Amino acid sequence: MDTDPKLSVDEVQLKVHASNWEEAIQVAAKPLVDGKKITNDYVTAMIDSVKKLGPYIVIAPGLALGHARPSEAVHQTGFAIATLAEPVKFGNKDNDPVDLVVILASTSDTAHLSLLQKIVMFLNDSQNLETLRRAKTREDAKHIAEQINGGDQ
Amino acid sequence: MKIIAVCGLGVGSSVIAKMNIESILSEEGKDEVDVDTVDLGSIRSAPADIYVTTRELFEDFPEEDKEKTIVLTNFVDKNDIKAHLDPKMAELENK
Repeated sequence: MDTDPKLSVDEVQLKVHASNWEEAIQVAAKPLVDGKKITNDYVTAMIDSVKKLGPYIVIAPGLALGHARPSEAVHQTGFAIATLAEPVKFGNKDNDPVDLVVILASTSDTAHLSLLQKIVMFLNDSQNLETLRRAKTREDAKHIAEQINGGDQ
Repeated sequence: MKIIAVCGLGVGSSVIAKMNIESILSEEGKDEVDVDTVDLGSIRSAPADIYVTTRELFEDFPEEDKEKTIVLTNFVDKNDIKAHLDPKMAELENK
């Protein structure tokens, strides 16, 4: 059972390195794999989904939302956020290059909604996006995770 | 009125679009508008007054639904969504 999924500080990675979009998804998802929330199959499914459906997951300038359908490859609903030291191209005409990757993994069609709502609220504010893109240290990551988990409080 | 956000899988981007559209509608006092999500493959079984999607997926839309569709390049910026959504809704309301 999922109870109130939260974003942990380890799931916020800042200024990581990736040389292409597939690597960016793999690197951003690594904390969820390490934390046993998802298996590598889910990472493959996210990449395959872009190959099949196109780079529509780049949902805002510079922002990619890596995700796949809920499946057995998801053990626990979770999110991860990574900013990239060097932006990579996903092949999206409008919103490339990407320097911010959000990974979404859900055990069901609804388990992720409460945390997703909090992340959306965070991303709605352009100032938060700027803070996130400038953030460098683990202390910064901690603040960001706390701010997202806190929601609108 | 019914608005449906369409994405490849129906669990990620379209849900984000739905959350932002609901928030915009609520600010406009239009809580009676129903907002839902669907994956591209199920669009024919999900009739709506307005569809919302991205440029990549729009190309694969059924021709007859294209006219009803708003193409967004930014699912996160509420001002940008509002700038596309409001005129489309006004167009329908005046029909």
